[in-house]
Amino acid sequence: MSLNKFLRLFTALVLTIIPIVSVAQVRSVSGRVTDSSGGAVAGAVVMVEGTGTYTTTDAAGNYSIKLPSGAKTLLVQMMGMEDARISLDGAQTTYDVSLQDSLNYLEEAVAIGYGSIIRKELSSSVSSVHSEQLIERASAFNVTQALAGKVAGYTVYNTSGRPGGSNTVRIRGLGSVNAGSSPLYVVDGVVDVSIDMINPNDIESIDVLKDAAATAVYGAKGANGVIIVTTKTGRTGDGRVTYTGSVGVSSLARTYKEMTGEEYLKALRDAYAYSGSVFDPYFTTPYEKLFDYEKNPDGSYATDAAGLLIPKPRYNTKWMQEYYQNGLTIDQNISFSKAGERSSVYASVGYKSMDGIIRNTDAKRLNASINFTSHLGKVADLRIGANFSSSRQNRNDILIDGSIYHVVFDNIAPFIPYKYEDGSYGQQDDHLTMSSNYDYNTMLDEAMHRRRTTQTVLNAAIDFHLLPGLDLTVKGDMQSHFSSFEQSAPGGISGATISNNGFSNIANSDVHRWSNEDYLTYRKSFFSDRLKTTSVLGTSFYYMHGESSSGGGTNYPEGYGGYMYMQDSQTWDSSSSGYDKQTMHSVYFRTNLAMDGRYLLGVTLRADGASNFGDNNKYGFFPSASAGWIVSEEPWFPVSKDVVSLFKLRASFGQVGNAAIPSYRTFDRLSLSGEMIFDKTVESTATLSEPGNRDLQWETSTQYDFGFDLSLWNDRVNLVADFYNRDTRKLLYQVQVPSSTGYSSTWSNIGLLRNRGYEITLRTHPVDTRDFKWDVDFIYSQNITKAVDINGDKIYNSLTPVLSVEGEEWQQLWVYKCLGVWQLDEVEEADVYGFKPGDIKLADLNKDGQLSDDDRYLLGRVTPKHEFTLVNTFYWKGFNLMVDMMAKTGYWLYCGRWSNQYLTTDNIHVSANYAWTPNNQGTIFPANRSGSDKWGWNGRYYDAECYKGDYLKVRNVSLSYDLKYSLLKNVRSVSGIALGVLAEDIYTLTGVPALATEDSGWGDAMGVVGGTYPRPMTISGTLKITF
Amino acid sequence: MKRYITAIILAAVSSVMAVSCMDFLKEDPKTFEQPDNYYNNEAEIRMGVNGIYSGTRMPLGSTGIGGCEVIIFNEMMCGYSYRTASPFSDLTEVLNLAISADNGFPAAPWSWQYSDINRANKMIDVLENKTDIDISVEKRNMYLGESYFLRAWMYSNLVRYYGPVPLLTKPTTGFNDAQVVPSSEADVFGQIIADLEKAETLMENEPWNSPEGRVSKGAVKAYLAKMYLTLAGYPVRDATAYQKAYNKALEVVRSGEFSLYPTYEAARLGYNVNGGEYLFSIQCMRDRYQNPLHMLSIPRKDGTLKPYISMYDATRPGGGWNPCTEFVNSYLPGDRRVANHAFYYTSQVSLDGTVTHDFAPAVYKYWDDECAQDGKSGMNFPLIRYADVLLTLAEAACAGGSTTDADAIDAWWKVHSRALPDDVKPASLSFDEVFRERIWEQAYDGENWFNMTRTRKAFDCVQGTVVDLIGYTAPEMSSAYKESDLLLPYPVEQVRLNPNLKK
Repeated sequence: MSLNKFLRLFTALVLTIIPIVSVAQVRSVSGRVTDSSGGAVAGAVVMVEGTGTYTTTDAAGNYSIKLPSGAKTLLVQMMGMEDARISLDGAQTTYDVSLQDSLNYLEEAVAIGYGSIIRKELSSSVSSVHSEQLIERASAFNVTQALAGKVAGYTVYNTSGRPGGSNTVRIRGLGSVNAGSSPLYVVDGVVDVSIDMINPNDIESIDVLKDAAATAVYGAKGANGVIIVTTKTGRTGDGRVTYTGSVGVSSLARTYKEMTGEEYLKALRDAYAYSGSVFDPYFTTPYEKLFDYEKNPDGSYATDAAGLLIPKPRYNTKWMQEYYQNGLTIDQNISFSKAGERSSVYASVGYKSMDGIIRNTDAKRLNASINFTSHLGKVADLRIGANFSSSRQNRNDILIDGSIYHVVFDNIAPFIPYKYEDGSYGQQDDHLTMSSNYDYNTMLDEAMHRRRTTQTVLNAAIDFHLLPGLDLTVKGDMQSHFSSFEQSAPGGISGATISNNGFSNIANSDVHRWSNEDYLTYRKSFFSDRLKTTSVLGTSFYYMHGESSSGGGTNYPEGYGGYMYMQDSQTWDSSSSGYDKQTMHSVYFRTNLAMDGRYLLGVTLRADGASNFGDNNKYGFFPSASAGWIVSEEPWFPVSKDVVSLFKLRASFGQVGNAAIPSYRTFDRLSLSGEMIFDKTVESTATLSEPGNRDLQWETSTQYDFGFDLSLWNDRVNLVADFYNRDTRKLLYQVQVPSSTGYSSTWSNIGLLRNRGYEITLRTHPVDTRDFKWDVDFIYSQNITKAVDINGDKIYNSLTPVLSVEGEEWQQLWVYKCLGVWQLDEVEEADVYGFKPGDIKLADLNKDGQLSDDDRYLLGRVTPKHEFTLVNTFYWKGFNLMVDMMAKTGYWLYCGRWSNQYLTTDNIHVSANYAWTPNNQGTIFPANRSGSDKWGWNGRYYDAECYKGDYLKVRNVSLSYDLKYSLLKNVRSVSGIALGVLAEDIYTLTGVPALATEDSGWGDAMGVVGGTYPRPMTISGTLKITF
Repeated sequence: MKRYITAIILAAVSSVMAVSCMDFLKEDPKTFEQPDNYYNNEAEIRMGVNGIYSGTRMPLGSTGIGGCEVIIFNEMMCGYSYRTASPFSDLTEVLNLAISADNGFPAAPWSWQYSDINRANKMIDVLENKTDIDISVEKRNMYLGESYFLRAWMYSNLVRYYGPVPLLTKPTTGFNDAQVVPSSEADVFGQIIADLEKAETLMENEPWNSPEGRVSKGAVKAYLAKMYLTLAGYPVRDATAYQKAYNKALEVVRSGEFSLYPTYEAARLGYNVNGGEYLFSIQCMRDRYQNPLHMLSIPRKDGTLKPYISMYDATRPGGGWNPCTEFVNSYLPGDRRVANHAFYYTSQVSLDGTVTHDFAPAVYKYWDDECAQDGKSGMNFPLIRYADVLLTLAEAACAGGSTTDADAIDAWWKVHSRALPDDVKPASLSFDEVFRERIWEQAYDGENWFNMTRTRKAFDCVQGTVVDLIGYTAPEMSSAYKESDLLLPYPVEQVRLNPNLKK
């Protein structure tokens, strides 16, 4: 369908569904809506049941509504509160309404983008999380971490423990290969906000839109799920000040056994004996710097039976103890909330500071936000919001040579000290057989790697109440996001700045976005309220403009001072700049119909245009539909309402687009950055670097979802279950092309990626009395991502055994089968493969006499197949105890470090103590060997290095007590005070021998343990006071 | 009243929605150049042609396997070198003459050379067809000549490594016909010769030598001579090409523009001069593009990974290639090339002057005093050496047999007498003598493997005789060369992407 045709259709639709209603106005009533504590409730919907007439309360909770003839009942609805129905009788003109906080999960309003809907009438798949659940983790620096495990189908990968570290979030699996796969964050209607910069304390609720029917309304950007964040607004009448704070200590949660100096020396001795070459110098030449030698009575060096010296290590360094520390976590928030006659305001300031458990890593963030609403007579409502945040992150653990500290921290032999008596650092190549000398310690301590970010989000919206039931919302927002990466190091650090006298560089990025949304909302009931409809028709414009620049310098004269002194560097290098602009335009229509309170239908149609596609393919058209049937509302439904309060069947189907690729991929590119030397003179080059594809178009995912909602015994048990299938086609994919074209890949639309899974959310209240309550929440999800068609490519990172193969699940471990170690009586057999006794023995599965990639077999997936969360919450007389446990199962992790007995480049794991020797043949650990000895490994990853990733974790235990319940019951000036203790990540049950065991990666390589900053165990105290 | 306002607002909203947004969605890149808007003047043309030169860096390019350069592969294939740096399976396959398709060595040259072939095709297309370039005819011819030469250079590497290869002479504009069927070796050589002859014509008025290190007339003619000689040998065996090779090499020699340095030390120190003994070189520069050969040639201490001559916090501590004893001993008695610190060295005084280290022979051909201080070598690496031109002249005259041609004998004598000045100049010269001289002279130049496959001959360094390549077992090889060992397999990834790549 062409765009113009689509627009004409829309316009026609608008005109048909918006009859200009004119009803004789008889009289009007007014009143005030309050919450259970007497505070004003702003924004509550007050409607005359059976008609299309409604209004909303102003900031002071006041409303006034004209009653059409025949009006009998007022219905008052507010998100998070129970509905209230008031019978209108005779001449009374004032009705004050007190709303009860909603315990009823079915009646809560769910944000679905451009409006909300009550959960009961929802026919698509949306999960909600409320504010109090978001701040129960003191060590969660940002919202993505706070949300982990709260929503079925929402998965956080690379759960880094680095302060301020960001996470990889996926909703319902992996939606794309090369285009973006992250969900869209919408904060108060502002699309594409960098969520890491939002203070979880400012958030009222989060709604996660999962199926296509739900995300379709953000279709252009919503293909990977949408996370709608609603921040707090003033709503409690008189000015109220709330302070929340916590102070905590974090520490390394897990350790493993490290090699001792003595053990390492023995491994060396074995290694050189095995390799049969010259013995290590320590055994033939005294090296008193590191060893004490046994001496004869006459003072000469003693020797053992083999004629070798007998060294004893002088140092025995436990690197884990040297480098991991306890960190302090501080969180302070103060907020003010007030709602008056015509307006409301919410303002907050928050500060969070967090030390890492690795030295010189920390993060600090300052947030300030203000939300203001005003009721402009009967014509319109105004909302204005501003959110500012600034953060600084020291990430020195990402070292200047590119290594990651927690991967390399123990790369120095244990018989070398952290520092010698004279204060000098122990160096890697104090161990004389080292081939390299990377001074990771000095890099961690003396270098700087910092990231600073500042974000401002401004938004303003006006709702015009044009006609009864018809609103026009005009919204504008602006975001500015500035970030800066700074790195510098003084000269003389081995492995990094040894050959230059210090270096520094800085990279700035400045991104601005603005958007404009205009939409009409029309609510109308037909057939005496039997059919309720809500329709939205709108258009949006998104604009993103980014500029970046970077520069660096090396070789400082005396007085190196870091990146601020770049002008003093003798050599300037690596300066660059970038410019990026992306625009999008969308037109959308959504209608939700509810017939007889039991037949639900939602339809969304959109046309989206994105700048980064070819001229003929800029627009895509994405329809979706969802239907629900509340079976329990049928008159014939045989079970009593007291038993089954809700049984709803849902089905949805829809398509959404994805345009998350870099700009300008439709153009051929020339790179002018290269240089060529001609007789020691540098000349520039202009080389063809990337081929453009003028035919690029929308990546489209088609998703269907079947589910049901079941509520039993007055909502004491609520069950939501979903099955979904998402097929992403026309993948925006960097397809590999034959090199003879001069290129290696080009952006293209090909292939099919399929995500299929189940989700179950069970919320129960087994005990619900006045003094004692017990809630149990259980969440389960399963997702399988399958590479149905990826052009026959194999996608892998050569540093890992994780491979994605067409026709198989995405990212699985392909490894050699380990049969143990070649034994002394297998010399000839081993020699066929170039091995010898003591080398690792790998199976030649295809029996072709050589080990090749074809001998690998599929061990299993590297992403958890099953994810469980179980939260038990107990309330008893002001006490609140929560125990949050989680488990992930059904996957494998590669943990190769523990089986490579390749001495002299590395410190090694204690498994070297059990390595193969002629006297210890029954082991799976190959022989310790010298660095120049051929070794059996040769980059072949094998199964004995892989571990089942399954784990069970006590993620969160919190205990709090509400002093208002007893001690301070009668203190007027304080309206609420609660004290608490919080313990996070206190216990993990797993068989993976590593510090970070959940799921991890080197860069984007999932499934390899060792790359993730270990998550700390944190214990904190919390305080919340409301004045 | 309100109804009118409403109607107006609705109308306004509808019209906003109906606006065509193609202008709003238009992309206008401001951060990179596009080839369609480029190549307008000489400066832009020069930059485009400069870009093709990266293809000549291939021998020093690291294949990513153990940081191993392509030139190491070439020397290892000859069978007289071993490695003390950590071994790895790709190299083990080379020494076992069992190179599999997923070996890293074959993969690297393929994509590098084709990437630059596409750039050369683009520049040839632009220079021949774009009419509005602000450039003189002379300069246009010069840059076109350079482009043709460089394309021939890259195809000559491909055809000698892989045999039949896809022959593309137009820049890539799409990927629908990307699965190109390989052309026969004869066809590829036909294109190479045609390109070089074209370059020769275009550059006829240019100087013989380019002091700045660009392609010169001397380089074009010298390489044309070498390619004629290759055409006369395997696999095409066009016997008429011997005479062409002879004529072309003689033309270069008679120009009088080039000469051998009198000593090997002078020859080594002369790498950085474009001209003299070196007709065409990879241009290196200490802080921009370093020559790795000094570092990888350093001998290692037995039993440890540390180099003997530690002078730098090196991550590449030497041991990359070492000549085996049999090969070093095969040089004739008194040959100056095997004197300490000529082509090889067996002892070295430490940097602080306190200790003299002795070790098994190691390559000294690329020793760079500056690099010994800080690990950075800016020494050029010669791709076309005058000694090769002289030996090509002699070999072409022999035409597989022997010759009494005075120019040929004189050419060979220039090379031979630098090593053994006390010998007597012979009256006739056989192919075997020329070939043996090549192997000695060109050891560790990266050329000998091609000398061997072209002639199907090898130098048996134990017997001191020239033998058939097929069936010969070199000292470091675990088996004899077979016909199938002489070409690399097509890289496995490329076969998958282009199923037409079948041998």
